[in-house]
Amino acid sequence: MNRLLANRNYSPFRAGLRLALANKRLLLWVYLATLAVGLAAALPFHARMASVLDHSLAAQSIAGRFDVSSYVLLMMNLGKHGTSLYMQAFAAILGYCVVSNILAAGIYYVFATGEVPRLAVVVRSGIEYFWRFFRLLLFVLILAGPVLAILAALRRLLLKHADNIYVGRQFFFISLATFAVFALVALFFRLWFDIAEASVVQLGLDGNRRVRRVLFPSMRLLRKQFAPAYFGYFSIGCIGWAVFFFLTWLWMAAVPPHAVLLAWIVGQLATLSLLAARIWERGLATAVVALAEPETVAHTAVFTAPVWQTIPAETPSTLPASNPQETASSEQDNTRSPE
Amino acid sequence: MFRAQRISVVFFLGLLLCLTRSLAVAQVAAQTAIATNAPAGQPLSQRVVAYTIDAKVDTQKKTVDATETLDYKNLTGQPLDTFPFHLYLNAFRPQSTFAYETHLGGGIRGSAHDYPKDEIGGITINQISADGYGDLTQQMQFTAPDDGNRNDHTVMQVHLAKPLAPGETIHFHLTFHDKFPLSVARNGYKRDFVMGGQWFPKIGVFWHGAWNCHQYHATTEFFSDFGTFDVKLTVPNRYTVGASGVQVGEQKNGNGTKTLHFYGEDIHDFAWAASPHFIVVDENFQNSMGTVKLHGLVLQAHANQAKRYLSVLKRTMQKFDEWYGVFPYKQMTLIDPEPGSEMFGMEYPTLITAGTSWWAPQSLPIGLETTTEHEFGHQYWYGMVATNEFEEAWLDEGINSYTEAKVMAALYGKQTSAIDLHTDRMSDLETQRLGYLSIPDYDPLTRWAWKFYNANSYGAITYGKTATALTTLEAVVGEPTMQKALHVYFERYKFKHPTGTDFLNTISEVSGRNDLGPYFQDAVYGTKMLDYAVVDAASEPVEWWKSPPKHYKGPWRTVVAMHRKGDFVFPVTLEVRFSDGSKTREHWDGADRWIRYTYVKNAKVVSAEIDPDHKILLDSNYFNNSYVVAANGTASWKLANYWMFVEQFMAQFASWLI
Repeated sequence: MNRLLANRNYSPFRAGLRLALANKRLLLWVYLATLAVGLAAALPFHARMASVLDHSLAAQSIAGRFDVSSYVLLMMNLGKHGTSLYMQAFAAILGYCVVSNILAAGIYYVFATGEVPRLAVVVRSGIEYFWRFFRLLLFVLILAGPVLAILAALRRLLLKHADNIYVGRQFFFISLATFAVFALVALFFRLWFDIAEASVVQLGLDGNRRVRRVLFPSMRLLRKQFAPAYFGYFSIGCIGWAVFFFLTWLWMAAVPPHAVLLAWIVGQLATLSLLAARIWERGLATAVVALAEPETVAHTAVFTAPVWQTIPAETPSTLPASNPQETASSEQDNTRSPE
Repeated sequence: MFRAQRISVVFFLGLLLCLTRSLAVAQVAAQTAIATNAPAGQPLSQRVVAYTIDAKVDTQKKTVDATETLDYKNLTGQPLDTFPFHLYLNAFRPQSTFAYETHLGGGIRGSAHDYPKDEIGGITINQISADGYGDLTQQMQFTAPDDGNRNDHTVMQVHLAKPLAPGETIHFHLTFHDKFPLSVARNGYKRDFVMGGQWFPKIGVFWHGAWNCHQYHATTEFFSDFGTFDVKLTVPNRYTVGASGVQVGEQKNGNGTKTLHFYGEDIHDFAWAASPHFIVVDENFQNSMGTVKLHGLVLQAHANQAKRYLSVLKRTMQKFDEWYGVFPYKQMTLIDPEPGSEMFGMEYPTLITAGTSWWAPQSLPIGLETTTEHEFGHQYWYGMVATNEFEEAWLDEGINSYTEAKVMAALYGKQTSAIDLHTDRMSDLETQRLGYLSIPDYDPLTRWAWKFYNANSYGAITYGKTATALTTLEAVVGEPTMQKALHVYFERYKFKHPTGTDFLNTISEVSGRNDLGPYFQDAVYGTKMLDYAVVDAASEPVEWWKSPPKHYKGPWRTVVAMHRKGDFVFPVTLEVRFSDGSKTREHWDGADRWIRYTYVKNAKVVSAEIDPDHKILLDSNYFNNSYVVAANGTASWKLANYWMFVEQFMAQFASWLI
């Protein structure tokens, strides 16, 4: 078990931060992936723009204070090149999602085991868990999708009704409030999904490849620790977005129009802020699983390592079976007590 | 008080009242102009029509029940036995031509894919008669002069048993019922706001020897005759109403309603808007004809924007007064419509609807300011010059977009009149040009409005291309000449329904140029594209076959070549800059497909630029107008950085979702 998770007095928020800070190299790997996706889209785009702009006096209207019309005209004139650039950008995002899934599993693995976050470790473990994470994604989409769709439909109905009564600032705040409700529910599902991912990795450490039956125990786990987990998760998101918006504002307000390198640095810092917050969130999810009470774990009959690895071997009465066969049977009946 | 004294007082007061009323009547008789500042009160237009309407507005059911009297004076010089009427509200039915056209090619403000039930509206004439002709109700017949759609019902005509002789006046009497749709195409209601536009049976225009009474289309606007409008509107007490003309009376009815009396003259349409949420903001504008009351009715939700509305309205009026002519009416009413409605940004005589949101920042004039300016500009080109918007929409929307760009540039900066943010900017003129270039070559300006390829082409050409083409024309005749031409055009043709030929002839006459025909042919009547490019700009040693020494200073031979990529021929100027700081300008008539210039100097070329003064806005691509020898990657890297940032953000968001 990761020794950073040994202290049970820490809240998931704090434990997650400790995990993230102790594994800064993870941020580097994730950032490099993000940089790669950015460059994969930006370099072809730059090549196309350079062929039009680098020898044109009209480029001054873009290099200096940005003339929106010049930019729009430029994009309109891209023609078939534009379609190709958009496709490249889209493909890069798809590729990033795959890589991100691998990195996510690697991050949970490093958090759970305390191994040194070398790239080889992250990638190897990420690949190992890739399909399990993919299956988990499908399950979560099946469960969360309808709920969010219904919520979105309700929101639309509510806003339609509100639109007949409220205008201006009042309607804006109603719209904002309903969006906030939707976003908070979506955040709940995201946290559930993160806890389930962390659980899958921890089970995997025991050679258990279960995925589907992790979902509801994860939900129970989340319910048990709802306040510290959810509000910690929410706070991390707020911190990440606050830094992101601040840096973006700084870029727009303080960076001179011609200072491209400086703008790039500030932009990348903003990108980094969201990435860091995301790693912290994954740390929190790992902590929620790892810091769970043994009794809870026993009832759920799912969570094994690393929590029980810390419990002396002579008190195994509340532990779930680490025998793969017994674990397999609990996959059939997760209400069964491991005693 | 004693009885005798009381009798004396009553007698005295009665006498005083009679005297006052007599004086008032005498005053009204002496000053016949009620709604205009016309000198001595004389009519400003040839008043062909006189409408008297008494309407009761049911703000719950969104209906109107009204009686209408129309006095039509036959000034056509020929007997008339058929009279067509517009019934525009019938456009808001799925069977109408408007609905089909919107479905097919989009519309300015229509739903393209379905026809919601609450957007169904209509107008029913219950009875029509004419003095001396009896009841004509059975004579009513729907016609569809544009597309033959018998289910359209936006044009109705009656046939008289005996023709109306030239110079005679016919008095029609109608009763009608309106059902307003949920806001669509400038009409209807939104929440408890009601917009009465195109709401009454309106007679067509006898123009160029025939009745001109087109159906309501997805892209067209309106055309009608000048006259007077005497309108009474009965609404609930809690409602505030803004309308064309001026308010001349108000009467409480005792049943929770009030009747407001409006009068307009020398106008060709009458519209009104009613809401219980209006706050009234008034100001005065002084011009050479007198005082104009600026009457703003702004929603409480937008109270913080009221001053902005009146400020831009007043400053716009000042510019129009200075550049094009005087505004002769006594009142200009500005309506702030309900947000989310289709009633924003519309013009009616002496009444406009603008549009804003509670958060609209002043650094984005493209919203409130542009809309208010644009709609007021219509008071000149649609309101007073009053061209036929069905057949020559560019003469109103186009000229108005051109003057919008001029006024906005004067008020909010040449480069910042649409967007004026810390990091970004855009001019109003460039928005017009971008609109044009979005779909530039499907239709000429002169296409009849509903015959455009689709609604986008209509907007791009009618608004965007006209503004762009007239601004480009300034490069030929000069900006002051164009301004003078528009002034002459306005003064000469106000209240007269001129045509495009009248407008173009005025420009030729005022500019003293009789060689503008080819330009008009390509820019107005044609669809050719204008695009000139610098395709070569390079220097090499004159003795090119020898290897130049290390610090070779010349002589250099510089070759610069231009290519006409489009079919539109236009004279262009080329500016070539050299490394010694010198520059030279060449003028090319642009007729051939390409031209090459050669220079021998002790300096190398630094850059070559077509249209160095940036006057040819019709040029579809600015980026190929110049060539700089030394590459500068700032712009391309800057854009690539934006692209990268957005890409990374999207990637992160996508990965968060999964």
